[in-house]
Amino acid sequence: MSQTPLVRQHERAQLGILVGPAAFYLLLFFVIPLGIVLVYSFLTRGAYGQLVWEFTLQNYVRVIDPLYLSILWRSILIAGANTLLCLIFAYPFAYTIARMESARLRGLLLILVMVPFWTNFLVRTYAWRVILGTDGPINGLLLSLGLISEPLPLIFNDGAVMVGLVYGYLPFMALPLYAAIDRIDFSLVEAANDLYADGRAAFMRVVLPLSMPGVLAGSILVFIPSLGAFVTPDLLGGSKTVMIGNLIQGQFLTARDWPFGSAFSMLLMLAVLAATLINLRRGGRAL
Amino acid sequence: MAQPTQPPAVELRDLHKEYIDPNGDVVTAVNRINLTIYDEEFFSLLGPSGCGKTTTLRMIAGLDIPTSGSITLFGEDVTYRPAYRRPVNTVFQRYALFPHMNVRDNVAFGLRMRNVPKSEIGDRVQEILRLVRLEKLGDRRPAQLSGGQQQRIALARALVNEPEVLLLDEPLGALDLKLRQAMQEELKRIQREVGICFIYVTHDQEEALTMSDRIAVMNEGNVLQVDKPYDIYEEPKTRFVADFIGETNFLNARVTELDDELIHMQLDSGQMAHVTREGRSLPVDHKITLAIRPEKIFVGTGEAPSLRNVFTGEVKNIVYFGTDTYYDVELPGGVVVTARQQNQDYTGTAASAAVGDAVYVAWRSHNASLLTE
Repeated sequence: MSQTPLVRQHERAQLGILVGPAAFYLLLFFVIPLGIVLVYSFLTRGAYGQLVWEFTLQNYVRVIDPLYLSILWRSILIAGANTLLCLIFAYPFAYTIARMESARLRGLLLILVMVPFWTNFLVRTYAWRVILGTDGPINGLLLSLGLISEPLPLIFNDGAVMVGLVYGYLPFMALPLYAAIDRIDFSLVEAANDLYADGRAAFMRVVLPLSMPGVLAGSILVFIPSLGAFVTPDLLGGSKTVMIGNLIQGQFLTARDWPFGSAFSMLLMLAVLAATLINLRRGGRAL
Repeated sequence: MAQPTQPPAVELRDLHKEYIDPNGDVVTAVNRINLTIYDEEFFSLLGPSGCGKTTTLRMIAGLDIPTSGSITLFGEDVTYRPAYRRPVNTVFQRYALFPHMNVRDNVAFGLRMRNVPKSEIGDRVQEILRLVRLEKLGDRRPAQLSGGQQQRIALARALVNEPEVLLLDEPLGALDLKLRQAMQEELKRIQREVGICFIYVTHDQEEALTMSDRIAVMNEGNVLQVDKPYDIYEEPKTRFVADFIGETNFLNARVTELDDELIHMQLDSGQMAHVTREGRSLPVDHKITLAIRPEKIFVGTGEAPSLRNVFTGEVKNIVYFGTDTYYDVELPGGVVVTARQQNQDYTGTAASAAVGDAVYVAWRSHNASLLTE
C-alpha cells in the first residue's frame, strides 16, 4: 500500500516479462483449443463428418447414455487402480533412494528411472505386446519348463492394460515421491523414536504425513493422464477394454463426429476436475 | 544429590564408539569413556565440536549404538535397548518439532505413543505448557513460533513424558545472547522444579559454568576432567582444559627446588616463579607448564605488591573491553603475559598504563596451576 506508483509499475513490468511468455503460450495452445472444443461440443455433425454451425445440446444428451457413463466409470476405476499400484510400487523405491547415503548411487538410480523416456512410448508399449504375447518370452519359458501346456492369455485383456499403464506411469509417481521424501528432515524420525514411537509408528505419523505433497503430486500426475489413456488400452487391451480415451479417439478419427467427441472430452475433463478437487481436498489437510 | 544406596542415574562404562568415514577410515568418536551421573544432577558435557559429546548423548538416548562398553540407567543395562523403549527424552539441537502438528499435538506425541488415557493427556499437556509458560500457544504450528518458543516447546515435549533423565543437545545454540541467558535461568528453574537429572551438551564454557552441578570436559573422544564448575576453572588438570575454559597464560618452566610450602621453578625466560605445593611431589628438573588466569594477575605502574611472584616488563598491547582492560606485558626473555584488570575507577582513559610503559605483573602463589601434561 505504501509503495509508490513507480515501483508498482516496475513490478508490473517485471511480472509481465516473467509470466508473459508462458501465459501467451498457454493461451494460444491450451485455452483457445479448449474453447474450440467447448464450442464444437454444441455443434452438429454434417452428413460427411463436417461441422455444421447449428447449436444443439444433443451431443451431451447422447453422452449421458448409460453405456458411455459405464465406460467413463470403468476408466476411472482403471486409472484409480493404476494410481494405487504405482503408489504401492513407487513409495518403497523412492524412499530407499532418498535415504541412500551414496549420492552417486542415488543419482544413478534416478537416471535409470528416467531412461525409459529415451524411447518412444508407442515403441515401449509394442515391446509389451511381444513380451506378453502368446509366443512371447514369458509363455515360452513357462511352456519349456512344462509348467503350462498351452500359452496363458497374458495379452488383450484388462490385466495387460494394467501392466502397461503401471509400467508407463511409474516414473511420474516415483519422481515427485522421491522429491518429497528427500526433503523430509529425518532428525524428526529420531525425535519420534525418542518419544516412544517404533519404526512403524514413526513412519505412519511422521514420514508418511510429511511425504503427502509427493503422494498428491504423483497421484495427480498418474491419475489424470491414465484416465485419458488410449494408446495402452488400444495396443494391449482386448476388444472389451475400451477406455474413454479410445472412445474419444474413435469419435474424432474413425467416426469423424467431432461435436460428439468434443462433448466426450468435456465430460472427461469434468470427471478429472472433480477427482482432482476431491483428492486435493482430502490431501490438502495433510499438507 | 542421590542417596548412596540408590544407583546412579546414568553410568557409562568403557563406552566406545567408532564409525567408518566415507574414505573408509575408522574414526573414533568416543574413546572408552567412564562417567557416573547422579539423579537430580545438572551435568554438562563440554567440549569443542567433534569432541564426542553429542555422540555420547545420542548413545544414552539410544539413537547411536555403541561399538563397545555399557550404559546403565538407574542400575538397568540399556546399552542395546532401542530409543523408543528407554525412559529418557531428548531436546534436540534444532528442536526437531513435527512441522505438520500443532504445539499441543507435538507435546502429546510421546504420551499418545505410550497409550496414556486421552483425558490425562489433555491435562498433562496443559500443565507442562504452563511450566514452560506457553499455555496460550497450543494451537499454533511450530513454524509460527519464535526460536525461543520452539525451544520451550521442545523442552515441554520431552518433559511431559516425565523421563528419568533429560538429555539436552546444545538446546540454546540457535538463540541470541539475551534470550540464551534468559533461557539458562529458565532451564535451571525447570530442572529444580522437576527434580530429575539433566545431561546437557554444550560447547559454550560460560553456559556450562553457570548452569552445571558438574562438568565433564571432553576432547577428541576422551573425558579429560570431571569436576564442579569452580574446580574445572580454578584447578584445570590439563592444558586443554585450562585453555578451553576461560583464558589462560601458559608459561613453560623447570622445577628447581621443593620445600614444605612451595614448588620453586625457573621460567624458560629465566625468572624464578613459585607455586603452592599442596602436597605434590615433583622431581627436580621436571618440565612443567604454569597456567595463570589473566584476572589473577595484578598489573600496574606504581610500587609492586609484596608477593612472591613479581616481575617487571613492558606493555606491548592494550585491549579495552568495557568492564575490563587487557594488558599484554612482555617480560625480559621474550615471554608475554596477559593481565586483566577490572575497570573499577574511570579516570578518563581506557587503561591505567600506556603501551611502552614499564609495569609490574604479580600473582599469588596459590593462583597458578601446575600442568604436568
